[in-house]
Amino acid sequence: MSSSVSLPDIPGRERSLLAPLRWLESACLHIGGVSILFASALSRVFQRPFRMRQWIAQMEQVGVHSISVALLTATFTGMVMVLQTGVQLSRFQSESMTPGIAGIALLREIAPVLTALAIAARVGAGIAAELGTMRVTEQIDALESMGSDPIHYLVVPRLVACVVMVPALTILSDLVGILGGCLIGVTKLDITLQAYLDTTFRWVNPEDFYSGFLKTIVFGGIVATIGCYLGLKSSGGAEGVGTATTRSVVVSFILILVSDYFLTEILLKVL
Amino acid sequence: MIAGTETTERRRARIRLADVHLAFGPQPVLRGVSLDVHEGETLVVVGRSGEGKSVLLKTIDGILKPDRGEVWVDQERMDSLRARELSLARRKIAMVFQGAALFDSMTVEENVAFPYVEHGTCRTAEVRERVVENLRRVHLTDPAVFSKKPAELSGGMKKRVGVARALSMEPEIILWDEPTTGLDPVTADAINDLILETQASTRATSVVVTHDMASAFKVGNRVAMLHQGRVVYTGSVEETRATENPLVRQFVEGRASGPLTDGARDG
Repeated sequence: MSSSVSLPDIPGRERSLLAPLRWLESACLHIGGVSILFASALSRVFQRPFRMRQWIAQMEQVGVHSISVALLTATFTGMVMVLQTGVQLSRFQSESMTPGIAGIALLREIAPVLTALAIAARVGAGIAAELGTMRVTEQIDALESMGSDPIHYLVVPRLVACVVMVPALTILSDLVGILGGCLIGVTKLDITLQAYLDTTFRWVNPEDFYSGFLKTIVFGGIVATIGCYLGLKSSGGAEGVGTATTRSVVVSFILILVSDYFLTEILLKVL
Repeated sequence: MIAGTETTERRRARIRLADVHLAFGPQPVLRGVSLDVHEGETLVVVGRSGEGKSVLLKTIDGILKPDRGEVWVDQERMDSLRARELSLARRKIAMVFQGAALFDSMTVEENVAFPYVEHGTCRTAEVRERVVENLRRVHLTDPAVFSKKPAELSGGMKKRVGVARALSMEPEIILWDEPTTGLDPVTADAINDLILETQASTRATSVVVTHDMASAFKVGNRVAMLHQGRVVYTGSVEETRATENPLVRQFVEGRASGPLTDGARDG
């Protein structure tokens, strides 16, 4: 529908001059669209009927089916973190600090961000592809025509699942990342298991955990909202669904990384 | 424009479109559609591909909002209802989609049960019984089909399941989007029979969008033709068969040249 205001079509050289304005117009429309979708979904979370079956199914899809990818990512990241940190600190005879530094980095940044990125790639893309296919095959129109609200039926369960399961997976990633690091610390850096765990618990504070944990609630919201928005906006058949899927991954990655900086700024002041 | 029969005109209009305009971006699709659909009749909307026939159905159902004009279903103005009111107003309307639009993730039985489960219109214990009954009405009686996913069904079976799901809405108005498109002639005729059976059993008011004239003449009481975003003709089936309107004649006879295609030869 032509309800939105658009810049007029201007041929020739003027078109290239207007390109930045058109990009800005499109960006503003998307930001507005994502914000409205998020607010609409949030306002419907406590609206009846509660679709517990769908909530649980989505939690299984987002959480349980992502455990392997999240844990694999966390294990090897913890291992490489400790290896790199240990080798560099050994130049200053400070390798005993490795467990503490790696633990803080993992809990505050590495585990939350990498878990969110892994979920964005696996789940966000899946959401965009599923809803995109539903859009182009008129399943969403069918849902509407039967008097159901697609946001309540499709978006809310996915949003709830991501907001709950991304933090839950991050807790697992924190633990597994530290254990992976511990394995490398003990086998490659000649730190005893007792010394590794003592240093980790001495250096790492609850704030380090909270800082990373709180961010993942936002990251979960980003993954679900972007996936749903781009899926619901899909058009043009298989090509449109493919584009929506790719975009959902790219946009989620960018928003997770950008929001991570600003959330860190805020949390460093608050916690 | 040729008016419909006098008896039809006297009946109450259940659907009324007044000067409806709708565009997708810079592309106008509906450019002032005015149309009445009377209680209990089957109006067939014909027109070339891309003329906005499916858009017209979605506008009646409130899925698309017109840029200008009014869409009335009974006493409710569909284009200005709020989301919750629209959702309630839609429950008396069922739409049968061109590609059936069955939910991929659900079985046939779950698809047909969806309106009952979603709106709680019948007791949980009765849902299966009603689903089986609705599937029987569309001649799907093999229990093995009930547990199949839409991807495992043929085109004709998907359409039947789509009709069964529409019947689960217990509709007063049925909107049929290209019911015979993409089907072989035998299956297409079976679907036409199914439309007639559904009309007889539900006594619903229907709008059928098609470019299949055999289907239009078989299932319709009245025919409207959409051309360049406007309704350019309405008449009863008998009037349509005999009309000298050059636009309708070219369409009915399926000629490539004529006033429909003059200046717009896009195949």
